[in-house]
Amino acid sequence: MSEPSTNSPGVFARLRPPAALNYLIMAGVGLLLYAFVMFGQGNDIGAILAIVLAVPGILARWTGSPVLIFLLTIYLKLDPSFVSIVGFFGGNRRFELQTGPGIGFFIEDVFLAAGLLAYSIGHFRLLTLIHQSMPEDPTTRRDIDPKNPPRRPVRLVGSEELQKTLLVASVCVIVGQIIWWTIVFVESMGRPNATQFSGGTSRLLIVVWIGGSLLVLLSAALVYLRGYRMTRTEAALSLRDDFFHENRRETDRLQRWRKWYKERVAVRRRSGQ
Amino acid sequence: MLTPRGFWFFFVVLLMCALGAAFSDLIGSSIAIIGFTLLAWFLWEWAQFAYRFYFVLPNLVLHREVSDERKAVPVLWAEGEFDVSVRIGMKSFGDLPYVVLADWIPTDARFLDGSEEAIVSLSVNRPATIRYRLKCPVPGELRFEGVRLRVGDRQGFFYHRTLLKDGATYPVLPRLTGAEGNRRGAKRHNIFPPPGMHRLKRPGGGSELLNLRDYIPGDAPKMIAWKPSARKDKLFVKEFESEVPVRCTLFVDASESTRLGAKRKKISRLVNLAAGVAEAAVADRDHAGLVIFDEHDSQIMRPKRSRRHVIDMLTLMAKASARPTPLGPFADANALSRLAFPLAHELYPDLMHKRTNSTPAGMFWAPVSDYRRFWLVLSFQFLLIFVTVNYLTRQIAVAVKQPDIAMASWEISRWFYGVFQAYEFKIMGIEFEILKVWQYALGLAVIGLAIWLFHGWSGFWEPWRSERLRRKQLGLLFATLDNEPAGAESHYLHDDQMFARRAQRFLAEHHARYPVRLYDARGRYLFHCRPKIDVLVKSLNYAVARGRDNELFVLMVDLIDLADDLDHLIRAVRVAVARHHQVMVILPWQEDIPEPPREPPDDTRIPTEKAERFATGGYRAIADELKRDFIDGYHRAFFKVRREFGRLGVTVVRADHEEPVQMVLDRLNRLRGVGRRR
Repeated sequence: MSEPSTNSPGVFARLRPPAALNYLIMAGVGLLLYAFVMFGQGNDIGAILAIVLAVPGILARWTGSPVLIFLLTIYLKLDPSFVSIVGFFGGNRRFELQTGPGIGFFIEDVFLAAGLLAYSIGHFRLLTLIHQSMPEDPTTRRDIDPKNPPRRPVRLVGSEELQKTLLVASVCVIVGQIIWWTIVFVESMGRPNATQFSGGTSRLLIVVWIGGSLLVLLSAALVYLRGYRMTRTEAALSLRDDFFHENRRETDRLQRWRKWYKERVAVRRRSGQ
Repeated sequence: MLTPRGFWFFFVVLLMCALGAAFSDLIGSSIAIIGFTLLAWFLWEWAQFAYRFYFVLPNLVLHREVSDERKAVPVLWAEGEFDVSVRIGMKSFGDLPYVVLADWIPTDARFLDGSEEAIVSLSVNRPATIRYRLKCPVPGELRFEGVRLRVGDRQGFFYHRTLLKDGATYPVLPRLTGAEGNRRGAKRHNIFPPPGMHRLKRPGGGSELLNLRDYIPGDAPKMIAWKPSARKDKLFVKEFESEVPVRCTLFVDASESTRLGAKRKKISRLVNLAAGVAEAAVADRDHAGLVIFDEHDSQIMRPKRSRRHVIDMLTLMAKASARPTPLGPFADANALSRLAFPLAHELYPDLMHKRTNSTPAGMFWAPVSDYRRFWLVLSFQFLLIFVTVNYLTRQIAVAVKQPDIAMASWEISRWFYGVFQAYEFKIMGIEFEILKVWQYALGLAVIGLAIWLFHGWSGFWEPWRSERLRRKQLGLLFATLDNEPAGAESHYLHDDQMFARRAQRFLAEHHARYPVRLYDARGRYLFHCRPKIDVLVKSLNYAVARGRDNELFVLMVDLIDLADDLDHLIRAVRVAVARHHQVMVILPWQEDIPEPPREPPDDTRIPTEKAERFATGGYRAIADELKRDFIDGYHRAFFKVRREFGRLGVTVVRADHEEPVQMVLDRLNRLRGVGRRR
């Protein structure tokens, strides 16, 4: 088998090809947009912290940094600039959530969503080009080279990929807005007059309900699709697996008796009976 | 399908959606909008991947071509180098933007150059090609299982691994040595007739004068030897030698004992040797025949000399060499399952996936009722059962007015009073008196319950869990592949030997190596196959019965283990020799055994020496001594075989794996020359 290459170029060398550079710029622009919006909302420390998390995340190829930035964003929305937590540890002993602008259309929200989406797309696609694109094959007979995990070669990045990505991202931003405003609309229209739920709770319930319903429909569709695409052998094995589940205890018992009888016959044979 | 990266992204995005919706009154819509935007993107990517998984992947097709320096070939040659080209394309529609392809190189082949791996983007108009070069070291068969595919998305959120099955097999014929050509250029013995002809001392149509005889009316005038006739005044006629080809039949042992070993099996060496001999014989315009035999049957090819016949012989030899390693009467089921499990995962990723071939947690529960230890648990419950039954009996007897039974029950209770004292306690001011027997009964019952629980839970511990998991998944796979009736998988789960044999067969089918037990518990060799001698004798008698004059029988047999069972074979060889045939025995030598000394070993060591050595050297000395004994025994068996055949004038040579075929051919030719002079 061909030997894995031992010479792996450094991260800056991998960032140099145009394909990687495009995604680096995309992630950077997204991050800057995010930072500007956060600065505008008075979240200076949070914005700087997000940049501090994001830049090493790219350079050190840290896959978890976008997730941390998302969590940080959630927290910063609840406690802008860490005022409450600083006060809590400063002796105030009261943790107060800051109130926001309320429900309404704000262009900052659109920019924030677009910035974070661009950063996420840029970060993850860049990582597949410069770090690792898929898990190591656990069954391969070749030794795994930890310095050279499977990467997506830059030559596979087509010329139209960035345009398509930008188009999809724009559509996703719009779709995100539409989904949210649909939920708000449904909640405001269908909400009974006398209810013990707050607006947020009922929106959460709608999200959970819609999500659950979609999940049920999606699972059913996937089960059907899987059955439809199944090969004959897979179908036979699937049926056999069901049979195994239904008759496992009984067949186990039968096998024990069979084993007992075989042992008995062997003993008799040894004793010459 | 979802990678850890994708999972955490999805989880946090869902969290954002939920928290954004829940706190929307307080903090506004921003978190919810971010969450739904990211979710929309994630679902779009997922939908794309799912589409490719369900609709595009089944469209992939594979085309393989193995070629030598000139063109694509259907058969390969041992020691030859070949180019493998695999083209992966799509039948109809779709694209796969990121695929890692890796061709499964056959176990017996040696990778030389190129790359069996390719990272590509596939579409209908853009197929991928893998090219590499490999070498086939031994004759047999090369099996290309297929191409491993790893499909990913552009973000690293989704991943799928599968195998694009091929299953193409290419016979690897034994190498052509070209020994005949070499011999012409460097003839060392001047005893051979002109190339291609072997004289026979019988009248015929040859060119060498054999004899003069009296003229018989009807003889052709051109045959009259005029000078002797004039000298003797009587008509003499010249008789010439007949020029006939020598017929050579090769008996190749393909029994189980020759198929043991990892790389250089004895059968491979024998087949290479036989191929060289056959090639040289046919090149000399001699007739070469072949008998492949094992412990059950034999396949016979009568001697011929056409080129087609040689190819057929080589094909038969390749098939014999490709036979799998024998299974053996005993096998370790767990060891085999550890080998077969990863292979099955590589070969049948879809059938071994837990979605199809599930492993429910309840499967690992080891109920104590399945074992004989069940009585131990039951005995702990005995006191509780007895006391409860006694109490209930008394109550029922009182209720149905059966004083005798009630009194008997009471007497038992009183006895318990004597043995287990009662004690009193208060709950909320009410005094209770309880027999301590209940306390003991409950205590013992709890202990029994704990044993039951512990026993059942032990099924989840390693290594039992992994063993059961492997057996279940493999059992289901084997039963499905063999199309066995429902419930057959439970045999594989419970019957070790049945599972072991099927697992060995599975490994052998896919050319994977597996351990074979050579000796039983008493140290007896398990592949001591006496029946192959009978098959060989039968084949030899058949060849002798149909043989013509001065044939050569080359027995390539592993006889070392059968040195004490040669009587039948010796008798058959004696018959062959008595009919003026030539016989030669070639023994495949075991690789890790050193060459034998010139003379048979003289075992003068006395047991006390060994005992002393064991006392001072410990286990290492014992191991060394065992090895030495084994080597001595091997050498002694070799000398015995040589002696037995030597009495008949039959040469016995070793076919060492380092020994070139040319050397064996020289010996054969010398033997032929000796026979002719006689």
